[in-house]
Amino acid sequence: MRHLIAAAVLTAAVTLGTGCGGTPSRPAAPARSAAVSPGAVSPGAVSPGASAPPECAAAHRIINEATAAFTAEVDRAVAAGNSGDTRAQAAAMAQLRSTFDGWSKALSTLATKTADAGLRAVLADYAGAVAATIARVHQPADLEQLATFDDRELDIIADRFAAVCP
Amino acid sequence: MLRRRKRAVIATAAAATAAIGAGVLTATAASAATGCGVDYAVSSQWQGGFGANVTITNLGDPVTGWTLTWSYTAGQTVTQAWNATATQSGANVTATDVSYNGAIATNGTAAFGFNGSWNNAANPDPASFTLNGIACTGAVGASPSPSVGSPRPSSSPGATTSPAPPPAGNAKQLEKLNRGLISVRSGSGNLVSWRLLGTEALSTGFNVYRAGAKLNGTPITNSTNYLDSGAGVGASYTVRAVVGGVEQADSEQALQFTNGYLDLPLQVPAGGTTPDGVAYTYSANDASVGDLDGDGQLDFVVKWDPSNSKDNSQSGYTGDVFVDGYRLNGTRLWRIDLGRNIRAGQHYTQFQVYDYDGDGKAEIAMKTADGTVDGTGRVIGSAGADFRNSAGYVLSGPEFLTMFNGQTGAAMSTVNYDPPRGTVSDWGDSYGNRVDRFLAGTAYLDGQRPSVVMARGYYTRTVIAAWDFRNGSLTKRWTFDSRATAGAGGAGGPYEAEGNHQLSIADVDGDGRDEIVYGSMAVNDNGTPLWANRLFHGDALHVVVDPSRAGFLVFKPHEHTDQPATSLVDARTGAVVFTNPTCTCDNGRGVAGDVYAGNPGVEFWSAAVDGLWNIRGQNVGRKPGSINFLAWWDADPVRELLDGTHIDKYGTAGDTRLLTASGVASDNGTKSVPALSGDLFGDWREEVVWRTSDSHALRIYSTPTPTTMRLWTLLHDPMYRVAIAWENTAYNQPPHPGFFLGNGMATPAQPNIYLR
Repeated sequence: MRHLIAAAVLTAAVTLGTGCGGTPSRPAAPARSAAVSPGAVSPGAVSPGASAPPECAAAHRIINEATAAFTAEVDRAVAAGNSGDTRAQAAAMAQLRSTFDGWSKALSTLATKTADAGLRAVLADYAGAVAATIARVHQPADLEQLATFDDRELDIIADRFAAVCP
Repeated sequence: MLRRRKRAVIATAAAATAAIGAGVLTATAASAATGCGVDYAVSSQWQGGFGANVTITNLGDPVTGWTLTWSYTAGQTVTQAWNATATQSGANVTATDVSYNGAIATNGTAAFGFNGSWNNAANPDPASFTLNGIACTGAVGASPSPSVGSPRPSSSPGATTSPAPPPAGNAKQLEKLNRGLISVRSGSGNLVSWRLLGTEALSTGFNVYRAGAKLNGTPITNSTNYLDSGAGVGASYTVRAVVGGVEQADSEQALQFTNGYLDLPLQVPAGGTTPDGVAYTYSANDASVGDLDGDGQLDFVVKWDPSNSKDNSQSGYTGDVFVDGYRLNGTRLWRIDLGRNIRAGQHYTQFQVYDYDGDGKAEIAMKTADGTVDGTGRVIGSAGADFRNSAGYVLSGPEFLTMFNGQTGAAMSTVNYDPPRGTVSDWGDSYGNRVDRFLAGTAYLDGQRPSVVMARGYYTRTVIAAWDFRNGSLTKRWTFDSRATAGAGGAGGPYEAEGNHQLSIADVDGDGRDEIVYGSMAVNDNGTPLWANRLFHGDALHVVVDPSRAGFLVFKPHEHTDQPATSLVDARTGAVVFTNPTCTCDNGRGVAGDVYAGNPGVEFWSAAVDGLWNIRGQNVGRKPGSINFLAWWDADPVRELLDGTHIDKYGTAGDTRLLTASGVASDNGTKSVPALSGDLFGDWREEVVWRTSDSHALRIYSTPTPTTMRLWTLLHDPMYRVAIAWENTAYNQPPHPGFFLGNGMATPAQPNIYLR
């Protein structure tokens, strides 16, 4: 996973996306309606819909892998803190920052490669949201902010991303 | 060559009668007839091995598939079966039909055989058999009819017995527990402690025996513990109650907490790889307790969390969620695989362990889906269905609620999950975050018997459904829907966006029936709206009693930046008692409990607010060092702080560490919660259960400190007992009893309960 992000970072044209706006105090109105009837059958592990830009698969992969990595790193940092191992906790938090940095850069790079204007904008904003999220994490007590992104930039951008890359 | 034959029905029928007390086998007009007999015959036996033939006779309506289970008592192992697929977990054997012999007509038979191994000393026949979760008594009993609209259940129904009806009056059904006797190493001696049952007089005397020798001079009447100073490690103990001057029978032998803890061995599931090639492993996660097999001893139910489990806001595939049942000795009773269509994470699987049908054995209620495999190997719905999208979310496909047999793991009743997800965006977003926010609880909605409460949504729409499990079937009691319930106000109304990441259950209006406290709103026992106070969502929730005020109080921190940082409200009306001003932040943690003897009553504290607050909204001291769980651990009734893997005593100048647990880990990432905490064994103090760091065991810690205080077991306080059931729900919270347990407390009223 980190290999993928690292590789993406190496080739990234470092275009920092613009950060997302403020945090709404209520769940924002959904951008679209994803009506699903109970009992409806869809194929398993589907690829993005026919109208989705081709870069969606890569974007999903970047996001999924980065998510897997940072959740594991948060767990490591918490476990180290619980055991009083401040050195291990610092190392886990450093790795966490690296993961978010790589995640943001990988999305920025992908944004430059897509011909789809909608996806390009979403990916750029997504990269900015990732950067903005980790910028709020300064100490172990801040890790709780990474447990969930409800009502935060990454929550809002995930909703926008799902509209382009279902 | 040996040939012996045992018709297993007589012993089984006797056992069933004993287990249900005054219960009787019944059949109802609305139910399908069930019944079975089993012939078990050891046809040959040799050094280390034996062969056996089994014939099932179906005495009920025709079945289209079967699973036969039994247990061995002498270490026998099934090694090879024919005309059936046999698996074994510990002493428990499960045999399932093969493709050509699943159908058995009424009075028809199916036969299979197997070879096994034995210990060359004894090879006793199994004492009982169950067919599709039903005890084979040789008689025709009742089987539940699937509920209307029941979604293609592939599992078979369960119990055939109708427990005795509740006694007249308004007593609540609780568990018929044993003494919960434990021996905890304490210095150079052993602290022996036990339960005072809720049906016993507070003045009941007890004698303590070590290896048959009485240790105390006169019966112990002021506590339920005894420090056996100088006793050796591992000494054996029993206790005997003294009632009316007459000594009663011996209790069970004490469980040994020789290092301060008891390890319950676990079987770690094998890891796997997601469709996008990411490997994952498993850790033990939330746990719960119930008497799964009806022997009076608490058993454990454990949820396994894959290393790639996700918060709903995070995309990606997850591994399957497994749920296991264990006896305290590590015998695994069953394993349920929730399958690929149930995502793993704190907000997805909330499991409820409780004796819902009153048969003396706990059931397990969980949300299931196509591909869930029950504890007997049966698949619910379609085994091959895969509804995961490329982001790992499950936003289509059927959703079920299943009640599982606690002894066998068999699915007993499966119904459509209420509510269906419908339009994903109705719940607050379109990518799959808020639609899959599930909460669960257990409540005495009729005032006597427990119902299971399953809920969906709290950021916008909120739906709570209450179900009864009686006579083998789940039946809907009511549904509360913030958009459809009269008085709830509809979309955007007062009951929308009020929910928390957990719920609590309490009889907040004092009518003897429980309400559901859902955060900044409450729902009456009959599913009607009770109150909503527009303080919106929060991450923590405590419903407590303060001695200075009648009724219950709700304390919670608030997430929304334009709301007060915390609120304390009347649980009956939702009216504000006090608030802390807004912090213009997400106040993610808050706790209520009496941790400071210097302040009368309960204290309140939270992450974003300095200080320790009393019920009058006054800052009375230093904020405790942690904001997480609580546990009654030392001798006094003031509660201790539980966080991560340690327990601390609050002090005005600083916290004092009482316990640092060894070789264990906390759960749920930054939440740092135990697998379970509560008064599980011994006297009224609380045990804390963590997983060992390698998840090979649950490590149950109990206090080594003697106390002079006596209380009924908190497991027989109905509010506390249902809290143990909902403790695992989403962001876990500590249980609270239905009375004030703290400094200067009054003697609580004896629980108004009956035991099953």
